[in-house]
Amino acid sequence: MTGNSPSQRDGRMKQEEGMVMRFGLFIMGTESGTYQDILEQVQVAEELGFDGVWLGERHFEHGQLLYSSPFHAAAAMAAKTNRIRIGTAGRILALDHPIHVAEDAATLDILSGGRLDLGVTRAGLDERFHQIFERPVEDTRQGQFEEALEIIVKAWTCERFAYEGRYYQIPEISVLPKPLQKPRPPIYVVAVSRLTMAFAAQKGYPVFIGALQTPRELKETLTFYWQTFREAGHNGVAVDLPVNRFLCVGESNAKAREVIAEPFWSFIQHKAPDLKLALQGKYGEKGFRLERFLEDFCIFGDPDLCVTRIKELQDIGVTYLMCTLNFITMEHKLCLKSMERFATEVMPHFKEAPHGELLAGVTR
Amino acid sequence: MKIGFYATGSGTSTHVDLLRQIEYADETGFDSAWLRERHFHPDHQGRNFFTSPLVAASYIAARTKHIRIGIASRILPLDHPIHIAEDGATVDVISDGRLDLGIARVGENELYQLAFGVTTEETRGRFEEAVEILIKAWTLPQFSYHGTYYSIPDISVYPKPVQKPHPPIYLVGISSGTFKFGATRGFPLILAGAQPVAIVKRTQEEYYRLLSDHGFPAREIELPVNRFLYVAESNQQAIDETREALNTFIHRGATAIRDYLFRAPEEITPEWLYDEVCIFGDPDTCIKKLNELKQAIDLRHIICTFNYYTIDHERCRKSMERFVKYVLPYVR
Repeated sequence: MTGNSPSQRDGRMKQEEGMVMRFGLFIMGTESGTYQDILEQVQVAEELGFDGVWLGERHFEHGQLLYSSPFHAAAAMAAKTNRIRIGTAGRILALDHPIHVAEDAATLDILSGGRLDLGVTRAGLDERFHQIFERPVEDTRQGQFEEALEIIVKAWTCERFAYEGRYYQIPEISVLPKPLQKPRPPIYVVAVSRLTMAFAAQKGYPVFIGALQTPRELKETLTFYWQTFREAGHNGVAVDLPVNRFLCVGESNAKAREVIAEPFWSFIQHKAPDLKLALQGKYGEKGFRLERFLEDFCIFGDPDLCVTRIKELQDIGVTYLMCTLNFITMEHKLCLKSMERFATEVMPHFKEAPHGELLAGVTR
Repeated sequence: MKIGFYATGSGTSTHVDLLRQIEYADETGFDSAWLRERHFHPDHQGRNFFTSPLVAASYIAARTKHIRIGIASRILPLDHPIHIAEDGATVDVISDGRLDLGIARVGENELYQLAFGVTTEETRGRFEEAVEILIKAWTLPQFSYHGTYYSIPDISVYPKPVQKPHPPIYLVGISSGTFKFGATRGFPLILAGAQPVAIVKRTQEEYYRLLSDHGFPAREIELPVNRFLYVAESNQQAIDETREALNTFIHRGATAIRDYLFRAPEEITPEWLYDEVCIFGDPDTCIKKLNELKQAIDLRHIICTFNYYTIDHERCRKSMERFVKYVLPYVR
């Protein structure tokens, strides 16, 4: 297996000249809105010049809208957009047969005209996902994840193949359709542990870096990834590693905090058990306060503050910011407003050319 | 009569051709478009979206306005029933309630089961349990299930479909075991395109009897019938332009579905198909054949196959246009 195709190199090259940062939008569901609202956010993201949108996977009471079937939601988004890349972040490989994942993803790549980024993850945020889909979470740590990924790549790139693994036995088959992107769509890996990060770097897969790393931790993570990547014999820096941040752009710092505080607190308390747990781990049960979290990890403020904070990230080597501008608990209109401010007042500081032409068409 | 379009795809048509055909069907007032599930199939050479009909259905839902989107069919034992419930409900949400979900027990050949790691012997049990789980997941706020093949602790499955109580479920199958199971649930049966009229009639009568036996108002349940169509300018043109496709069917397709046809191989000729199975000809002939068919069987919902084997996109499109213009107004 080799790393992602060099077709992504352009952005990185420009970045090395100190100009460009790429921006993706992490799409969440909406508690008060509808599927149409989410679709509108994606269409607006395209108009505003975001590089990609990313969809998570959740099930059962964590799910509610569009999370349970990210490929199916992505297909509708592909039908309503022309340029923006559409990614998963990520599909939980343990819960589905890898042949299905390969087929569905290739279909989506074709339908979207080659705009798929397949982000994958070893395990879901709730162990019950694994219990119900009959793939114990222990399996994912003992080779199932690696086998599934290997099968997906073979299904995409080999005319015919057979597979004899510990978790999967597949007779000789020819999996069709093949994806449109050659040699295959980029694969991204959700890496929380150093072990997974090392695996991805060795294989040349870019990783997603979660929202809970301070700039200092982030720098260590990036250094570790690229060192492992180079030691494995991969050349250069062909890939962006999307770094996730919670963002809200307001008229002023105070206004931004004011409008976001309540929905964001409610999001952490009720909709993001993984995040809550991680925060408690970081701060201790009692030390967890919203103010502190905002200060350490979130970019909530006026455009100037956002630019400053993102420049800090850029200085330590971040080239792709995966923005969470949308929380399940946030009003759709507020989300659109924040997206628009971000695109018009923050993004131009990091793009080679301002998005004047693109923005002219946006009337919101 | 409801008019459906079966997006089968031919040896040369691409996914773009199929999407155009479906969009055209939507614009011209077809009631339904149906997608199939196929795996590892060399005929389509990877140009189509048949491995992932519900993914394609989401895309089509976002591109169309009125047409119902049918799956004929998802092979239940190849996927976890919770996935099928979630994916189906997602398509129902995206299409604002336009999903019809056809279900089947096995794929075209043994390889389907082998590749996805289930044995053909257990498909009967898995199929029946999966149907129960699917309906529970769609309709109940919370449920648990303990069967031989699936064990599910107390969960809530989201999203819920828009259609209440749930999207219609159709049955695709040929075995008497599948018929019996479908009839206990009151599922409409989709009847295959290649069967001669007499067999369709017999199957419909048998299935209606089974439905009545299980207490369903049989005649209120529409059983969609699939037919091959080709509308040409003249009968001779129809014969000329479909000959190659029929020969291909005889040599490849019919060998796989001989059990469907209830005929010896040497009796399956282009002439026999032309007379007994297909609705080919100039517009007047097609109107006449369709009206005769309406007399012979229950034809409240016909699913038309225009694009098959060697019929390329251009011919398919012309045949569809003639159908819409010259046939549809007189048969509906």
